[in-house]
Amino acid sequence: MTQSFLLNTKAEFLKSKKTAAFWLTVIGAAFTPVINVFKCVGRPDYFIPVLQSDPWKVFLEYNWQIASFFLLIMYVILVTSLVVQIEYRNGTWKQVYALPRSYADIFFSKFLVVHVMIAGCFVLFNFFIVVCGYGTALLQDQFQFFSHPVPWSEMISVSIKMYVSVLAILVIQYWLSLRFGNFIIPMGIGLALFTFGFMIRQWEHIDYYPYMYPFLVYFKNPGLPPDMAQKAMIHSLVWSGGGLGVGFLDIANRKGKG
Amino acid sequence: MSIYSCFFFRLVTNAILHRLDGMPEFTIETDQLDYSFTPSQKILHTLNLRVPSGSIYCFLGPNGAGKTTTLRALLGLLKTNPGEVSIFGLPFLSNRISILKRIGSLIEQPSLYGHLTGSENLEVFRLSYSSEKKRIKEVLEITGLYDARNQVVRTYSLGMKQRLAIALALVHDPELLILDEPTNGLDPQGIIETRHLIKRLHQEFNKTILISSHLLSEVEKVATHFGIIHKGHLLFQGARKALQELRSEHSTFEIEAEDVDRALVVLENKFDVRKIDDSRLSVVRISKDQTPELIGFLVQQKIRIYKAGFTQTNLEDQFIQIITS
Repeated sequence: MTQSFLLNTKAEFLKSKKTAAFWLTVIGAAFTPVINVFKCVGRPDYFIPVLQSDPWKVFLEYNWQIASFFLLIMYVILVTSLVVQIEYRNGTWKQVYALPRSYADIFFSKFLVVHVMIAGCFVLFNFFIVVCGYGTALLQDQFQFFSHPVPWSEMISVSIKMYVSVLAILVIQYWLSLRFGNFIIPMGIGLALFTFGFMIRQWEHIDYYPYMYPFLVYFKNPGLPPDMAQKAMIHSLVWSGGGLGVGFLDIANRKGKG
Repeated sequence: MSIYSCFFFRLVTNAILHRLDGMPEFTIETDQLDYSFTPSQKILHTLNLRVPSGSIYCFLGPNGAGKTTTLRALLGLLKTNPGEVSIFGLPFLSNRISILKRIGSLIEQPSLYGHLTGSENLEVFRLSYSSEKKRIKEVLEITGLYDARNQVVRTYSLGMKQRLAIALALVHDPELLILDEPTNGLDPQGIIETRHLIKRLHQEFNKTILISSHLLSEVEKVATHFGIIHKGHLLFQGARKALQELRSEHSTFEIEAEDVDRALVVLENKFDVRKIDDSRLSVVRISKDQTPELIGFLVQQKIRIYKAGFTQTNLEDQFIQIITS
């Protein structure tokens, strides 16, 4: 059973090779750090003093602010749809369900692929932050990245928190993507839920609303209880566990498959 | 011997042979298989499909007849009730995974990953079937795609895609192949190639093959058994010979006689007879056994007969006749 699951997961990874989901992961991870290089090098008069005392801390914030605010959520919505769309676009779902694989195997092996892509995106994002920090200093030697140590522990800590914060969105989007063959529907629902969440972000029970978790975890939220970030992470884990169970039962019990 | 007793005899003989082989008599059996997408829209009506082991069973019917729905139900892609589908003598629902390990399938359009090469597509399926790596080369050679193995599949022609889809179905060396319209959209050359491949898989590799088609001419030459479905009802099922006999029973009997109008009066109360022209009559829905009686009537009335016989109808005509009668 375990060996079969591993082989099938390997097959799922092979399917994702050379796909838009793969390139989105690589380019998406590099996007913000590269833009920040241009930003810093383009206006050295402004940014050299700002990054003077602790360049890595400020550079890290520049990158995570835009990521947690918008790009990370967009990436999760997009990559989940793209991975599932590999089957819809090629008309291969029926063949997948005609393979000697249990429904759990099919559901969770693909979920694992999306999961690994997102985890990989976090790793690449940190890698590009470091490379781009040093790159900025190479292009403009008054930036002090080489004379300060890279804050590895802070980078890992933020990454883990943000990773936990997107789990709920990931599970909901995964279920929606499996449910609807039309790429636009899960994307549209995801975007609508995110926009709606942004409009109600000051609600006292916003910690129950998955699409705002990355925002709540990264930013300090004036007007909301101080433990909101912690609650958001716990609720994200609860949502993802429950969502996976409900999603699997729904997909496994559908009358028609593929 | 009537066609039914002939068919029965054949079934009994096959049953004995297969029992000796340790194989079930029928590789696929459905028992009163019903299916509906909505309560008011029934697609399959109490289908009792019997695919003999070692046969090439052609499942025929016009578009929308229920062929693909039946094949999807056989593969567990549609929810059926317990006991409705048995494959290899085992109930499908309680043995889904072990049964699917022994089946290769191609449903509707070829299911291929366009961004991967032919070899990579096979690798994806090989992993899921846990079959040996050497099978990739073997099936590429069987389907004549070895030279195109490193080509991205979206650049393949439709014929190549169909052959690759068959290669995918063969990667784990299954006992049973279920192929849904494998010649769909192919040019005449592609149809001939696919037909040869199917024949070869049956003769050289001993596969039981269930193949669906709406074009009888495409499968007529390879089939050992036929099943004809129309509007979800199985109208006919049996060996090639049984269908051929049915064909002769249902085909048109044409008479060239001296006095056609008088012959028409003599025959019209007993047979479904029509005048073709001043010298010919046609009689439909007449069996071979009834022809001496018909000729007898005409001879009794001293009507001179110049020519009489069944007109040559191909299986396609027969098929249309069966589904429209």
